[in-house]
Amino acid sequence: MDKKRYRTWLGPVILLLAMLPAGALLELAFGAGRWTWLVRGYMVFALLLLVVYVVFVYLPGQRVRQKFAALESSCEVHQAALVHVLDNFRQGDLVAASMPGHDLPLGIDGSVEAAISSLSGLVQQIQSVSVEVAGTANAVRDTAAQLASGSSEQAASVIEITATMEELARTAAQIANNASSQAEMASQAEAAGRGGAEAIEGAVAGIESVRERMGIIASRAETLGSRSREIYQVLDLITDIAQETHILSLNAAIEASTAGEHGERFSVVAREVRRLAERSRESVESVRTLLHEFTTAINAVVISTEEGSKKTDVVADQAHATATAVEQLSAALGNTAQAAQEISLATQEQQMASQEVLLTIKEESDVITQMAEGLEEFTGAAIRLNQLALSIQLLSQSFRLDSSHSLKHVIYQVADSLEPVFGNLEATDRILHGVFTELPYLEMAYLVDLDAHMVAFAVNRDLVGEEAEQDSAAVGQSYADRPWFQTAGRDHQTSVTPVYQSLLTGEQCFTVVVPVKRRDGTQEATLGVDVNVGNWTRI
Amino acid sequence: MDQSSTSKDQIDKALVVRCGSEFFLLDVARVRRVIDKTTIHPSPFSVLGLSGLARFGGGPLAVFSLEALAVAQPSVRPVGMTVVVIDIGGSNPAQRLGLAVDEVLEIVSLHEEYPDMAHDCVVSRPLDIDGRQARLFNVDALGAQGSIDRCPGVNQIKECI
Repeated sequence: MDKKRYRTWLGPVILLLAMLPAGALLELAFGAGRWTWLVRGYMVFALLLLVVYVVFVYLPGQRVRQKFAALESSCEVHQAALVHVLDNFRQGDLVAASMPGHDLPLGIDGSVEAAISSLSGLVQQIQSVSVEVAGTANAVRDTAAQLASGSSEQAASVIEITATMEELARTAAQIANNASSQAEMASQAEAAGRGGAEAIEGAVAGIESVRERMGIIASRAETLGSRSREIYQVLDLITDIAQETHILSLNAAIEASTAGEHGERFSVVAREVRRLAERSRESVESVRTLLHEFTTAINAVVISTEEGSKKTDVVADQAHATATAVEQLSAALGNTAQAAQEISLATQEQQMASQEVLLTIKEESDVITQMAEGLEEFTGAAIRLNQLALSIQLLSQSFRLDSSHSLKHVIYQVADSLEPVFGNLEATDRILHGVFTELPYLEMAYLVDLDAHMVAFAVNRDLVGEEAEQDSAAVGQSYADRPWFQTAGRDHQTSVTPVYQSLLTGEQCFTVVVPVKRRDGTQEATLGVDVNVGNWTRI
Repeated sequence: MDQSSTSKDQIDKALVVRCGSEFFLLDVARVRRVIDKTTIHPSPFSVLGLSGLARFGGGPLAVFSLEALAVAQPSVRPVGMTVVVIDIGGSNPAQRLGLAVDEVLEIVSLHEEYPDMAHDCVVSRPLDIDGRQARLFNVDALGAQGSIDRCPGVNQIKECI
């Protein structure tokens, strides 16, 4: 300040010092004589120049310098206020940055407030959007996973269908070949059937001829039988005669025996007659026996002829039926051949259609496989999108906003509520346990003093469960090596850690720490909360 | 004719007849006629062996079954159609009767001795006649009471029947 004061008088002094030596030199050179006026004139001019300088240069400059100093002082105040605001910006504390009382110029103040407001709105939108993106990404991930699972099942089904269609195509080919062979065989059988029908017609004609001949034989045998009966009648007559002759000879012999010697000759004649009768009867018996055999043979011939005729009739009927059946069979074989041809053609068309279907199914299988792969990538992308959304959430949470969705702000409020109960561990513990009512997504809340020792902590049993171990926290435990403590405890700043795996739940979580300050602004402790990501993003 | 006994001297020729499978010998001297295919009318009288009545010589003739008389049992077979007319005493037609047989074969001469038969015995023991086993039928014993039980071979005939 003194230098500036001296510096303000430096110009007139230099001017005066420059003019005085110049006047002395002029006095020395031209002081005596007629050039005295020049010296005096120079002195007057110098004096006038000095006056002009003071009036028109020095004094205005002095006013300007005063104004500049005031302006410089104001600028320093504004700069300090701006630095404070920017420092809050740097820490993301938009609440502190927007607090009134900053010595900012009116225009800048309005602009800063407008910027904070816009930035707060933007961050809130980013938070909301990131939450929605995270939720949507989760939904997309679940849907994509379901679709991928469905696609995998569909791909497996398509593979089965493909195998079935291939088997169907092979079967159709076999059927076509079999049908073709069957058609050929049916054609051959039809031709053979026609030949068989002709042969059977010939056989039927032969059977008819045999039947006619059998009829003739039967008629002749009947005639022989009739003649045999006549011969029997003759034989009966001869037998009767022989019997009567026999009886007559016996009676004659009886009479002769009663006639004594006179009847002896007669007895001899009677005996001879009886012998003749006996021989006649024996001859008749022989003839009868022969005739019986003949008749039996004739009867056998007749019976055989009748049976043969009947059998011939049966055979003829069967032959006719066979001929009809063969004709029908031949016609059926013709129809079968035609049907087999049609089956073969239809099966070939079916095979071609099956091949086309198979190609289509293979294309569909490729598409489904690609879709499944794409869905897997899509699932991965959804997971990455969820992680990115979570990262955006965490980045947006690095700002403290005047919003219930701003974790820093909420935790700051908790930290502010701890300020009146410093030193009262019971009240501190009650406040920490009460945090979970309003903030159920917190796994744990804890208070650490400036020496990094745990003062108090509370665990959200509704979230982590009664059985969860809590080896990570203990009263008196030191947290000096934790980065978050170094940030909040040493640098007096808020901090949001990256996502890590919780020791309590095994799920994803992150930690938010804020400094706990007294009313005079001095830091007393550090408040930390562990936020469960899954529950927080759902909220 | 002596009614008390039968001897070889009195019978030298016999008529061989057949009843079923049995052969009998009838004394030719007692045979009057052989009638074939005569009609036998059934009789209402119930006499052992009586088959009926036939017509002979203009009068009725009682016809008996030789087989039934020989075995003293009613015949179970149809009676033969040939009737041998025999005299059972004198020339009175009323003392003739007919014996129904199946067949009359021949007249044979009896050369061997045949056993003595009581006058009231109906049949003798079997005799060998040209290879046939035949029994002599005693016509005279037809009227004797209890003759059946004393005849030899009756039981065998019963058994054969």
